[in-house]
Amino acid sequence: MLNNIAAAIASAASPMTLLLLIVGTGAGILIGAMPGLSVNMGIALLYPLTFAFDGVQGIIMLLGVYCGAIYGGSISAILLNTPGTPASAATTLDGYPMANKMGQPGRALGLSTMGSMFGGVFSAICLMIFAPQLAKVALTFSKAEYFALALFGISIITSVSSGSVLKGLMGGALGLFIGTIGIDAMTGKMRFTFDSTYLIGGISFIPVLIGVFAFSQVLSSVESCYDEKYEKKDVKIDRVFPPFSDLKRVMVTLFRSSLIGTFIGCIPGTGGDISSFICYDQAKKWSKYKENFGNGEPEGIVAPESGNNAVSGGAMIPMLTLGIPGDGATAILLGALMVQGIAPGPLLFTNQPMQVYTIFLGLLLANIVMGCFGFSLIRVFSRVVNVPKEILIPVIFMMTFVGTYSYNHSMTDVYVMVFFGILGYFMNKTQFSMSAIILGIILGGTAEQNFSGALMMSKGSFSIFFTRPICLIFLLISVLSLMSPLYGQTVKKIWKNRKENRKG
Amino acid sequence: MVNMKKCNYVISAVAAVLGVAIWALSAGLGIGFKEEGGISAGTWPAITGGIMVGAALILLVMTLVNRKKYEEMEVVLGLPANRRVYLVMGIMVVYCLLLNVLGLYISGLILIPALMWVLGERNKKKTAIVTVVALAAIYVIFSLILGTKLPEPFFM
Repeated sequence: MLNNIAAAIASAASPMTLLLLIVGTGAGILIGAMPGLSVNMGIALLYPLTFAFDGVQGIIMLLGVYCGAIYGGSISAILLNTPGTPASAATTLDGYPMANKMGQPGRALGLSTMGSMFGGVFSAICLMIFAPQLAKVALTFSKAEYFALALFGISIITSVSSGSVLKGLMGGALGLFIGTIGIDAMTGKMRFTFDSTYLIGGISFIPVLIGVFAFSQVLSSVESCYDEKYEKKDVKIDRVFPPFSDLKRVMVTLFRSSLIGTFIGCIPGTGGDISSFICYDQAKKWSKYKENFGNGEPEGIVAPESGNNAVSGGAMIPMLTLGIPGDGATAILLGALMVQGIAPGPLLFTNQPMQVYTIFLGLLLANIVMGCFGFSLIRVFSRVVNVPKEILIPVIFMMTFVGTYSYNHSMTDVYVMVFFGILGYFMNKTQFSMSAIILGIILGGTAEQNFSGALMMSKGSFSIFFTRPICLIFLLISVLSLMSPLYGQTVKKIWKNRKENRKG
Repeated sequence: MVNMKKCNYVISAVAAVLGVAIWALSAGLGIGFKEEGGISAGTWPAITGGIMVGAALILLVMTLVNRKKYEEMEVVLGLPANRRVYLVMGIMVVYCLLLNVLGLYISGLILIPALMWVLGERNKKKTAIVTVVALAAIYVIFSLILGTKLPEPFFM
């Protein structure tokens, strides 16, 4: 184990890895700071870049993008009152008033940087402590449990489909179907290839990913910036590092929000947006300065920021140990790991321990680098909010083409990307969830192979799924998760009535 | 004006047709369970087709039941902003064809100014600078530093 840790430290601290980490984190902050560009889009856009590097190095770069983009969202939230990413929406509540009403943008940005770095580092440490323990338990899993886990992962479609659960299911089914195209790994039969050589290997995950998360989102930006008047925002940022008095005031909130954020991150289907609002709400409940919330309260800035960045480490726990992504961004990271030959799941810790520890260290370093960037280069990053859409949009479009082509050097991949991008634009308009499609593609193959494998183990008997306790528990959770839209509203009503009765 | 009710009808129809088609194609691969355990090649896709048809039917019923609610939900598809998106989609399709013939850099010299123009940028100097800088950055990062192969023109 010590050998693996030493090798991981050597790998994570190598100049090339550090350079990639810095580049990834910087790019992530820039992407997050630009309103309209999401964390998922950032990872999808820069994902193809990682193929030029050794597997783990590329993944560490993506981790930098992931952490940087979550943090970057707070910059535009504070300066423009427009969250760069949904995870920073709660930051606008106190960040913008502090920056504008109180005229202290430097203080607001400093507090958000402190909160983000603390939350991220806290969750990375939790990941290092808890993930190996969970993986040990998961080592006893057989194909039946893996099937149940994959099904559980797919079932979070209901949580990520905020617009319409039914359309989320349709998107998930579409993703599952796309995952079946090509040679069947179990029987060797060609499925839905229609004599096309391109389809024999299946539809590549990357073009679909870039299409639905990047291309379609830029098309939406083309629409949203119509008639938008460009206004240059000149912000004078003075001192960024928070004074001791502020640190003392927010310390408890930092710990509480980081803990909540890490816990929420562990729950599949949640994400930074949910976490930041819960942390904000809790900070307000426990604060001595409740009446100051909404008017530039420091706790109101660090709570959502530490909460949303803490999600990063939390979401990696089920992703690395069980192969279940915690949110859309970790679903993409899961796909990235698989493409790089790193198979998340309990066996990852025994088969590729060096890679696991490198990822742990990478996440920790990414959060530290993010903090260093925030405290030293915030004046540079804050200028990004002024980049006009007429410049940004064509450049991102070019990047979608470059990224897609560079993956496989295939023009068909480019056509697939454009097709899914255009489809994604209309699907977004009609309340489909893009994450559901990606979840279906990524987890469909695992679910099918383990379902078939489990039935082979039991010689065709379905009892294998109901006689193994862990498998049964995960199947029940999956069913509950899938059915949640049916009973969720009723439970909420009962909960609300009880609360009102207690108050009355 | 397009509302969610109309969209849901179309989505239900498309999803049902797709689901049935998947099911029919899966049947050719064999649907069911093998005697020695395991599943036939068409079983899993048939399940996905089944989910699709099931979800399509439920969506149809839900839309019929909550007709008024969905009628009030507008899906914005015909505004000038949307038409600009359709124009960009058209440019992208043309660009795909150009990319194959002229390669990334030459076709990029056409794409970036075209997009900037559609997005309302009329300053020629600014357009030229953005185009050159963006393409130079792609060349340096991808071609020089990363050694990535990008689409080349037919004459190279």
